[in-house]
Amino acid sequence: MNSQLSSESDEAQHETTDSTDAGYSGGRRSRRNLPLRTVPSIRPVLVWMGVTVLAAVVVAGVILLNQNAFGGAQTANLLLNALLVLTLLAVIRLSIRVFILTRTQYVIDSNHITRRYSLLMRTWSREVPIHRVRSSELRQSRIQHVLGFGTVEVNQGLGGIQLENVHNPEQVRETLTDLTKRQDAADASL
Amino acid sequence: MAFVIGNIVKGLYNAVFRPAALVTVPTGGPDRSLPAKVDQAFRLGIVYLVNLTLYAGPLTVAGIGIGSGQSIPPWLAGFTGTEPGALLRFLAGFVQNSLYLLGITVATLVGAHIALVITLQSKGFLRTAHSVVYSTSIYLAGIFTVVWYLTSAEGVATAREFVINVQVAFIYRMIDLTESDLVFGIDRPDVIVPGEFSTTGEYAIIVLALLLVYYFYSLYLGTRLNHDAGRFEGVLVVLIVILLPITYVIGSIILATIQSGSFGI
Repeated sequence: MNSQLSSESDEAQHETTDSTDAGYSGGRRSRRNLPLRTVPSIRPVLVWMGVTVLAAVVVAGVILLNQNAFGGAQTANLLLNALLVLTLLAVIRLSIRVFILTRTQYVIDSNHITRRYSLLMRTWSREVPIHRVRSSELRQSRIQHVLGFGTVEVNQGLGGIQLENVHNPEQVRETLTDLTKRQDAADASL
Repeated sequence: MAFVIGNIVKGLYNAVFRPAALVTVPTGGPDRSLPAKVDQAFRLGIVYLVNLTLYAGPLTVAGIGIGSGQSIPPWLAGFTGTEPGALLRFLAGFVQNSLYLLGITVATLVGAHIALVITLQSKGFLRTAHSVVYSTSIYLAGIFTVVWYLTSAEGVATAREFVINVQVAFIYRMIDLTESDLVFGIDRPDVIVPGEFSTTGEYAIIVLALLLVYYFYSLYLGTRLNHDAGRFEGVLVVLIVILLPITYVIGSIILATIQSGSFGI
């Protein structure tokens, strides 16, 4: 499953999400479409990468055009080199993030929420049972908001799970709330 | 052994690519019971001591600070005597080398936490302590190590003079700001960059600049992540930490001017 996901394109990621999102309006249909399998999008990270490079180019331009304000050609050169290294480090960091995200999968079924990723033939998996869900938080940065993605965090501060850059995050959160309520109702009826 | 090497590699990776992982308080602490808080404080103390030793130990071994043949400063002579043995001399050197880092850590911790208390964003002193301990013991210790390297290494004379000139120019700027007629021990530099940098010197300055950026960024991240603070509070904490040396220098100038009797109001 993971090897398939790692080769999936961003477009395919949307298909995976959308096909299951349709069944996530609650009720019997939602139950039938479980488990929900989705993968995070890399688009927000790629946009961040572009923004980082663009910002570095702008700052480099400002330094080059105002060398005297930065103490002369030598200090300007030092600053440009430091900026170059910093930008490279940021791009490497974001590339690693892209690499990890393309190998990550989220699964929500009636019993568990699972985040799983595989790297270099090793698999890491983190699971939170539905009956242990205490809170869920939806966060959207400006870039995520524009692109229609968001991050849903379950049990923040309690060692929970972060479902990063998921498509239709409101629906994913509603699904979780629905499942939690159903679980609570089932527990209460026992 | 493999475990230690693995942890060092992971620590270096986090220091370069994931500073947030270093400065964030781990899940489950330190907001629980009093024993949990004490335990967390103890762990932080150990982490800081280990990092302080990793920083000050090699410097002391290299003879920086109180080397053989050098006299013991009066404030330490009370504990070690004026002619201590090799072990006591080493310990005195270690204490002296640790003091800079320790002093700035305490000042940063107090300054950052006061900023959070004032903005009503504090979620506890230990949360501030966590981010400050990790950012100072990694990035600030790195900054000091590069500065020590520039002080003692050969072939980096221009870079060394550049770092000194920047500091002297900064102190003179503060003297001008306070309109004091205080004379500083070193002349005002005519130029900040005295000549061509050697390749090693240029690399050292770039590393220094990067460590400074990482240091301030890690403090910003620590404030935002550990206290759920906004961008304003994060920037405020960084500004206060930047203002600390300015306040210190201005305070010292005013004190020196008062002591010399030329302070006119």
